[in-house]
Formats: sequence, structure tokens, C-alpha cells
Amino acid sequence: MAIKWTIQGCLIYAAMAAYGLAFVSIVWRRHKTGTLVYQTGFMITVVAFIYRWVHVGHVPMQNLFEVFLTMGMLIYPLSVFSRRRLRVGVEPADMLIGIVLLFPAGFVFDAAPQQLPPALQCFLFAPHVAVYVIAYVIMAKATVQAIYQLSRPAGPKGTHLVDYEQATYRMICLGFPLMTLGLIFGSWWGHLAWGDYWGWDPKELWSLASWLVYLAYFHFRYMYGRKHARLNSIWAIAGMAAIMITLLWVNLSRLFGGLHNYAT
Amino acid sequence: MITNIKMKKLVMWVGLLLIVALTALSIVGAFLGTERAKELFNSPALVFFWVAITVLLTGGMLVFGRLRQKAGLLLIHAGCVLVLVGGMYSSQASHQLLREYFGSAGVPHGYMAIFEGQSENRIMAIEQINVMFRNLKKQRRTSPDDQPYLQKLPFRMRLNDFRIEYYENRGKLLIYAQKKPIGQMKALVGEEFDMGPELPRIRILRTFRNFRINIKNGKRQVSDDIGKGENPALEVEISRPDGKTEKKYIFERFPDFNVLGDGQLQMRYVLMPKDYFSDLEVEDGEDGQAGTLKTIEVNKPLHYGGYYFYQSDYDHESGQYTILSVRSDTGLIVVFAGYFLLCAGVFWHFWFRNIIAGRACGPRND
Repeated sequence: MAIKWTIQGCLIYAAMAAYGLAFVSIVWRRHKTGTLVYQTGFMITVVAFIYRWVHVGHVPMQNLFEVFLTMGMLIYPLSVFSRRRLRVGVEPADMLIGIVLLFPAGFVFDAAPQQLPPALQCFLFAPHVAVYVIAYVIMAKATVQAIYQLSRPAGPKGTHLVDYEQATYRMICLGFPLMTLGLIFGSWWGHLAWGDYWGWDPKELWSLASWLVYLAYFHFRYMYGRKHARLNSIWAIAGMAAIMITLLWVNLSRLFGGLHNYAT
Repeated sequence: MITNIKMKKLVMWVGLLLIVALTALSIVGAFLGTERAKELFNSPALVFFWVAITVLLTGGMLVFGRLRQKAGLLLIHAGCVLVLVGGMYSSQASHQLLREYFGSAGVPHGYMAIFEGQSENRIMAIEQINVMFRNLKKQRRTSPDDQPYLQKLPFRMRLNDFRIEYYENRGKLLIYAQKKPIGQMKALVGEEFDMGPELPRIRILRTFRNFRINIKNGKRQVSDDIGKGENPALEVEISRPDGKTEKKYIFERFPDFNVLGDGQLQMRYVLMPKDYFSDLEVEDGEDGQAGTLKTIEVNKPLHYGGYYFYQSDYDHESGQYTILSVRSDTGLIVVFAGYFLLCAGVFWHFWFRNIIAGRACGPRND
């Protein structure tokens, strides 16, 4: 773990501070201030993202530093979209998710710019990673809703918002098509780069496992509806656990050698 | 007698159990590693599993009227069936069966090694390629024509040229003392590396894309040949602590040459490849006449005669041959048709039908 004394690092820390301040403001019922600071945090992450793009000369989604930076930028638009279109709330938790997502970019992962190796120079590189990154942020929000459902079954206070079980379902419905698209883009890319649309690589298998957990969630929820709301939430949390392993453990552990090693 | 409702519940439960089982198998496969996972998922026992899922999905579409009525759900399930059928059809076992009973299918996967200016039609296993190059290196009498192979293609593939493109100004000179890394420097003219008073100072004098050496009037002349070929190298000046200086050439492709003095100090010139290119020509027809011309590179394979040809490896020392990965296209179209249906289905079911109806995402329990 190291502090990044660079412009890039300072932008990330400023965004984290803004998200933290926004959280405190909302908790202290300063909603207007909180929203304004949250927006400021988002704008800083956009600047950090563009700065990185210009600095490395390609879409900044090559390694874990860039992926976490991108995810930290996506949390604000997702908060706004979820509240307005899906009636899913809990923005303070989103602010904390933003901090959690930016933390590895700020303190853990190496920010040294890297050239794209030949395999990554493909028109599918940006769409494949982008849809997964968006899907993962959505599923992170779904997981928070599921945790709320387990801890506060009464539901949110705002009358215009749906209850936590329904909120989890709506978020997963939003993210699942993107996870499917990510899996298919990856397979198509594998066909172009390695000649294998499916290579049984550990990363591929964990991605499939994550997708299957959400598939099982849909089938279970179809069978029992909201009768076993707690079990529905546990499925959703299990999906996030599989995503975290896919994103972090597979890339960082030597246990899973494979074609996706460069992602570290 | 099983009622319709009980039957539906049973199908759903079996479906859920198969999804959970596939999740567990995927996790086990990830721990096993790529090769062993490939063996596991292609094993005879797993064939029953794949068939069971396919049958259940097809049966589900017949039993559940809802799956037929909802376009999105129908597309998702039909897409999964196609992916599974295509996957089984393109598998090693399926190729073996087709060869045994119909004599039609070729090998699902193999490699082809082609030297510049030569043509080849044999698909080999990677082990057979390795043996061939070992024999060629040892100058054994074994002719490459006598090498065992997996299959001969009905056309020949000619390699006109193989080349590597590197990132400009991204090379590095790595320095080792007694095989331990002690430092690195950018491979740019004028860069210097000082290792302290007891070790030599290194300075880069010149960079070469294609190093050539000529003897003229008994004198050695080095040049950067702008013609065909690649032989990246660096000219470095080594200033020893005793005041003596000498020039050395460090080659990207011959790391063994780069040992200094008594072998205490080694250097390695490393370049970052941007892409690899093989200029191929398909010789099809009775006279072996020239046909399709195509430059393949990473992510841009050639599709010809039921096979895909991929840039896989190359001659790391002199860049004189290329190794292509060759894959049969059997079943591929079925898999990709399945992907298309699956993708269309999930987006229609979870996103678009709700957007059109003006609803929030997935408001119903389906």
C-alpha cells in the first residue's frame, strides 16, 4: 500500500474525500450540500478518468488500477438513474461504495502506465471491459440493497421508493444483461485472439460461475416469488462474492494461472 | 399420476439443481487450471451432464407455455440450447465421432509451422512441432517431410513474410550481475547507467532496428539495414573502473550473446511488441496456384476451407518462421447463433420490453 503523490493520485484522493463528505452531509441531513458534494466528487473522477486516458493513450481499462478508477466514476450516474428510473434509493451507501471502489486505485494498485500487448489491441477490448465494469457496479448496488433487506426488512422510509427485496431484483435485472453481454463479448474476443470461443481459463470459469449464480437467483425467485425474501437476498450476495473472486482473486492469486494474467 | 403443476415444479427444481451443479463444476474447474478443466468438461461423464441440460431446456420450452409466449424467455432458452449443441458439435469427441462414422471432419485443433518462402499443408500437435524444431536444431537427418502430423489439408499455406512491429522508444536494457537484476535503463541513445565506482558505466551509443554486419577490406562494418528483416540491437559503450572502454552489441533476439567480461555482468535488450504479422498466401487447386492473400495478425485470423488460421508463435531467434494455430470451424456458427439469441433475449426481457411499456426494470416476478 502506498500513497500516490501524483496528479492522478491527488484527483483520486479528492474524489474519495468528496464522496466521504457527501456521506457525512447526508447523514447530518444536509441533503442539498450532500448532493452537491457528491456531484463534485463525480466530476473529479471524470477528470481523473480523462487524465488517465490522455496519459496512457488508450481507454483506461487495462489493469485493476484503471478498472477501479472507472468503477469509482460510475457510481454517481448509477445512483441518479436508480432513484429516478427504478425507484431504488440508499444513496449514502452508494457514496461509501464509491470510496471503497476508489480506495484500491488510490492506495493498492500500481498506476504505472502500460502499453497494450497485441492481444488487447482489439475492437472488443473497450466494450468487453466496459460492460463488465458497469455490470459490476450495478451488482454492488444490488448487494447493498440485499444486505439492507436482511438487516431492515421493514423497507426504506421514502414512500416513492420500492422495498429492498424489490430494489435488489430491479438492480439485478439491470445488471444481468450486461454481464451476459460481457461474457459473450469475451467469448467472441477469445475466438478472434486465441482461436477458442471458450478456453476453460480460470477467469472464464469464474465469470461463468458469477453469471450462473444470478441465473439461479432468477429461477429461485420465479419459483417462490418473495416468499423467501431472505434467501433471495442471500443469492444476490453470493453473486457479488463470485464477482469479487472473478475480479480480484483470479487476477491477484498465483493459484489461478491462465490467459488473463496480464490483467494484474 | 403427476399433475401438471407438480411436473412444472419438478422441472424447475431439476433446472435449479443443474445450474447449481454447473456453478460448482465451474469453480472446481477454475481451481484445477485450464488444461485439467478442459479434460474435466470434455470427459464422458460430463457429456451426460451437457445432454441433460440441453434436454431439460428443450423440455422446459415444451412444458412451460410461458416460455413460448414470452419472446425474451424463449430466445434466452433457445439461445442456451444452441450454445450447448454447438459446443458439443465442435468438441474433440464430436470430431472423433464424425471422423470414425462419416470420415468427414478434420482435427478440431492443431498447429502449422511455416518457414518464410515455403508452403505447408500439415497440421501438427504442438509436441510434434517441438520435436521437429529440436531435430532441425540438432541437424539430425530426419527430414521435416518425415515428421508425424495430425492431418493434411487439401490446400497449402505459403508464408511470404513474417514481421514484428514494436512500440517505438519503449525498449529497455536490463542489467544483471551474477544473474540477479541490478537495474534497467531506457533503450534510447545517450542514456547512461552508473552502477558505482567498482562496476562499469554503461552508455547507449546507437539503436538498430535491423542490425547487419559486413566485412569490407578485412574491416568489420555495422549498419542498420532498412530492407527486409528484423534484428533489433543496441550499441553500448562500457567504461570500466580501470579507465578502459569497449563497445558491445546487445541483441534483442540473442540474449545469450550479451555476457560481458568474465560473465559477471549480463545485459538484456527487451522490446515491447505491438503486433505480429504473417503474410500468407493460400495455394489451392491442382497446380498449387496462388490464391487468397491475407496478412494475419493477433485478433485478425484467416478463415479458409473450414479452418481458422491464427498467429500463435514465431521464430524468436531469427524471425524466419511462423507458427499458426489452426482451428476447425465446425459448430461455430451454431454457438454464435446461440449467443445472438441469448443476448437478444436477455436485453428484450429485462430492458427493452419494460422501456417500451414505460415500466421500471423487471417489475414483475419473472
